[in-house]
Amino acid sequence: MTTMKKYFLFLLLALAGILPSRAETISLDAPSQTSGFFDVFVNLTDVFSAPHDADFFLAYGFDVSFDNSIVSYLGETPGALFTDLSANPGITAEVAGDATNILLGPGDFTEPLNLAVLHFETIGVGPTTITISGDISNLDQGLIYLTGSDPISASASFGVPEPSALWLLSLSLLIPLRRRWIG
Amino acid sequence: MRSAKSFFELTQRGLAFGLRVAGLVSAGCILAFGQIQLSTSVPYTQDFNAMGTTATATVPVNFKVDRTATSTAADVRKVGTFSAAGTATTQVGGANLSSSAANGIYNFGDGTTSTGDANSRSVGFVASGTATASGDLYAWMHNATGANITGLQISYNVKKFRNGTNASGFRIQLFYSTDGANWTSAGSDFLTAFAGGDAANTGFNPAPGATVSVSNKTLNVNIADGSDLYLAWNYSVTINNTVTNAQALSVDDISILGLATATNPTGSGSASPNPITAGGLVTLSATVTPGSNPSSTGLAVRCDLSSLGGSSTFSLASQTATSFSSQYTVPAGTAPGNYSVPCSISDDQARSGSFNITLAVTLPFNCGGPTTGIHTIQGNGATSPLLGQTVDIEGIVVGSFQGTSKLRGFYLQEPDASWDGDPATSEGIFIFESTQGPTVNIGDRVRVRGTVNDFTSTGSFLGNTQTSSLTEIGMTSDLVCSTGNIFTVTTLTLPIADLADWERYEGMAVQFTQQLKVTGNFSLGTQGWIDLAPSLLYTPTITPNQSSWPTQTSLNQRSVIALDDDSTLTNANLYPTLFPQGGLSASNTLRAGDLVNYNATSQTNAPLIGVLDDRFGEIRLEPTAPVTFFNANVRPAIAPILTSVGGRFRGVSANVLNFFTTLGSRGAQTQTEFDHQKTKVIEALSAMNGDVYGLSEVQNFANGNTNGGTYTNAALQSLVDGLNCKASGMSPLCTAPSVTPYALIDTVPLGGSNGTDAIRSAIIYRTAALVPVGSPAEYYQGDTNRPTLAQTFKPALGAKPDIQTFTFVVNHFRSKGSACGGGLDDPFQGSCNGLRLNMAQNVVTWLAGNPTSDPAGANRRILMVGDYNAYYGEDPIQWFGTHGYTNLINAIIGPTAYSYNFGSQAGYLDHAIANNGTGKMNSLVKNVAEWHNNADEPSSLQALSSSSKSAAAQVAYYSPDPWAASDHDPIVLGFNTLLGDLNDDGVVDTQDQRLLNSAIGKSAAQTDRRMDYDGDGTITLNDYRVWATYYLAFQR
Repeated sequence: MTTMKKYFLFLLLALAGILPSRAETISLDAPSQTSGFFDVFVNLTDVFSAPHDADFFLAYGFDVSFDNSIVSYLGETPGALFTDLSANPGITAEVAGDATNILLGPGDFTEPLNLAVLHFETIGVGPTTITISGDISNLDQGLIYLTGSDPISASASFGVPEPSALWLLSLSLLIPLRRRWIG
Repeated sequence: MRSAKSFFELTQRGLAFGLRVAGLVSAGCILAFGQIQLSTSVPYTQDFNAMGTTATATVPVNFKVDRTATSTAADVRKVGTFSAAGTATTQVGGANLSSSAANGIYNFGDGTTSTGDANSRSVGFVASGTATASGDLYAWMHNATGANITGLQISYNVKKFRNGTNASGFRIQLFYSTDGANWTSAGSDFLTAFAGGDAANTGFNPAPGATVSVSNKTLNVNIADGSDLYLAWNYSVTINNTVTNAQALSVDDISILGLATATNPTGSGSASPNPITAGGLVTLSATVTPGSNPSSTGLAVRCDLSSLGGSSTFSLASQTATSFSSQYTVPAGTAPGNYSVPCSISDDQARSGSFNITLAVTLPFNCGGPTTGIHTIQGNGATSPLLGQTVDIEGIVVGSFQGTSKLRGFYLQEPDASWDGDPATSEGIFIFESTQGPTVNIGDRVRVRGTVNDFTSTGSFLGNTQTSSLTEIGMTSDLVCSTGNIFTVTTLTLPIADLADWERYEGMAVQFTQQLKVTGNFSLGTQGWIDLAPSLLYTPTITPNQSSWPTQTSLNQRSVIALDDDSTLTNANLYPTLFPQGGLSASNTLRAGDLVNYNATSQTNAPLIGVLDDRFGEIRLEPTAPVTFFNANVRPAIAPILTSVGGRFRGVSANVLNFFTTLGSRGAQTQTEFDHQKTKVIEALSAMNGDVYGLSEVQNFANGNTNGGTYTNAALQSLVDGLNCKASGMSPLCTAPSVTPYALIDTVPLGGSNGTDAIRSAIIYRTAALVPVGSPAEYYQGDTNRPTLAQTFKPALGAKPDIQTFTFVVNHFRSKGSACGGGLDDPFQGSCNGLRLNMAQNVVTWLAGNPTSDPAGANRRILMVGDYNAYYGEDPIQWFGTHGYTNLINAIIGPTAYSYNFGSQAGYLDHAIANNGTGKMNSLVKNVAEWHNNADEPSSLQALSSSSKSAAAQVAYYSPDPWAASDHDPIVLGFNTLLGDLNDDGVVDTQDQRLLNSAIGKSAAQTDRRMDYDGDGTITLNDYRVWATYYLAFQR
């Protein structure tokens, strides 16, 4: 892949369908890149939609999956309001962080709330899908609010043509499927 | 007349009785007025010679006479009554008694004159057709011998003074009676009959014409002591009723001897020398006690020597009247062994007795001679089949501990070539020297002669009393045959397969090549021995898995062996100890967990070699080579423990082992003992630098007694003073500390709730750290459980102290020391388990009622400490676990925890228990640790019981340090009353967040257990979320 000089990024598919929106929305955003490297921004909007309208957002944790014949995962950078926990030995989330100020409430930030930036390198050609998932049965994963946790499930599909100088990005939406409430 | 007789008899009996009872009148008086006094030694005799020669002579005292007044058929052979009889004769007669002589009672005399000689009188009768068909001579006797008389030996002569033509003949028949009125014939032995039909009714000159003797005839009649007996010699026609032409007969020369119960001769015998070597000359002796009633005459003793190759009627020669002895040469070929020679005694009275003379025959005592195999003596059971027998053995010395300061003997092992090959029989045996013989050394071949004994003794084995049985030879002689012999050393491995297997190695040279560890040292300074095992043994009940208890008990029993000091010296006579190297001292301890013969450089161990012995309740090894110890279990410094415990506050649980300021009661006996005890206790307590102390075994009553009346804080205040002294940088015994950071919780005002025991639980706290909230409370249920003490505290400093209250509880449950009965005792959980369980149940209920009115109410945090006298797996402790409490020792330290060593088994009787649930005490405790400053140490290093130590030991064993300050290890807890305050600075902030961030992903055991808020064992983002709620709560 290091021989590729120009890249073409194109939209293949928007995977996530529109599901009833009960809470926050997570998105994977990838700006155009002109080299063999690209970033995916994990952003959160509607953070304090019901039932989180009187809640605090604390932390997040999720795993990342992709076709490792097409891209290589290089790591992550936490969002500006977060402390990275991804490197903690023993943590069971590939990407995790908590709010540096402990409690993030309404007015503490402007949406979208960037949780983390995922760094990739293209190593092959063809379509691929990048997926993030936070299973709330795993106590290190999900969107961690003070009152409970929401699962994470989002993906985006990409195509890497040869030769090409343009990347196309698709967006996918994550809808919380269920929530682990703290009673 | 009858009345007069009765009065006479009563008077005489009364006199005799009075004399016997009071003993105030001489024996002469009794003879003058009493009956004929029977004797069993001197016969009573009567020859009637004092009667004189008159016709109306008075018969002797206590004799009477009578006759019938007619001669009808009813009058013949008729005996009258003693009371109605007279005391005088009616006629006198002698030689040539006339054919027409008058009938009547005659005073006869022997000789040639018509009245007879004055010095040879007798009493007789002549019958006629008109009167005297019967005549009677009576005698009245009394038994005052002090014992029953079983018969009378009677002699007398019947004399014939005139012939009679009456064909029926005449006779004298003796009768006897107990009342003088009702008569029984004495039988044919006492019938003297003369044939009738004499040629004429003529007398004799000289008279009498015939004399017939009744000689030494026995009248079998029982005369109880104090009773009377009457005799009557009845004269009459022998048969038919015609009494004319009568023969004249008289009675003379009476002799009466009382007979007591006859006894046979008895005797005993001995042999000297004994044992006797076959072929040697032995003297057999007997001492005889003659038979009695009558006394033996003509005594003879014979012994049956057929078992020893001699005569079956071997006579012992008379040396004196009662001693007999003769010598006999035991044939050279006589088999060795114990012989019992039967002997018999005989006398002229045809009585006999018997006894045995025991004699041990041995072989010549020469090296190489025949022997009994040691394995034969040991047998394949617990006791020897040859107990009591004298044996000769020859073996190799495998351990020599001669002298009264040692074991008073040595061990012999059968030479290798003559082992019997039976694994069930031991080839070794202990030789006990009541008197020390020649010095023997390992490798000597020694011949021993002695008696097989079973030396039994008792002692404690793993905390239970047990009896030991050691087969030994009580040595009478020994002989060193050679030196430098080699012998087999048998290798044993712990655990042994079966406890019974030890018996097969008793007295043998053995070794353990495996690494052994000290598992108990309680008796080191008192008895000189310690217990070893492959690893530190734990009490079976430390686990709640009750099905494992029997198995673990068996395994523990099979895993331990005592290492003895080759000595029987104890207590004050035991100093210095054989081990550790250099002897036990305060600075040279030997701790449980230390390794035997371990070389730390090579990380190998040398074999432990000695002789296997069984005494004082426990199988033991008497070492035959120096034993070394490696201090693998070093005395733990307190600083790392305190660091690991951490926490904002530090709680301490400590048993202060009968801390009494009243000397001579349950605690210290002398001022020196007290000073030493206090110094050690304070050194330990102050080293832990607690904020709150829960103490057990502090003096309760002012007089130091149980149920002693007035409660006191004196001992508790002494502890507070000691802590303040240390805090002031002064001696624990100082009298004026410069600072006073510690105070006590005063329970004296609670009165009877302090219970009746001599000891109680107590709380000391640091005033700068904690503030009591409300008053203390005690739960006392009137039994031998000590009252439970509770006190609520809050932080003295920091933000929001009022929401940080916690209740500190000290328990001290009933000990396992003595049985409670009533189904409360348990074979594994010990005496009074039921009583402790009952206390646990009631304490849980009591605490549920918030006895200290903790303002936290339903959210209150409870931290219990103390000496529960129950191991973790036992019912009382499990009760807490199933009723809302977490055992912090089990949860944090786990199965290796111990605070006490009883019976060489470790375990924890001391517990830290916290209520569980969100925000409860369990989530506030950061860490807990046991400081093993006591349980691993030899008990002799404790300050108390100094009287059992020698003066040198008292000096050597004491040091003003925290080691062996008590018998229980203390518990140290780090906790924080503020939820979420992970760095223990009194606030919940981002610093705590950073600590939590660094811990996410780790196990709770790897980090601060308080962070594991959801209790899943791992620090996760979910714990972070919980923590954030505490953060928010604190910030608000």
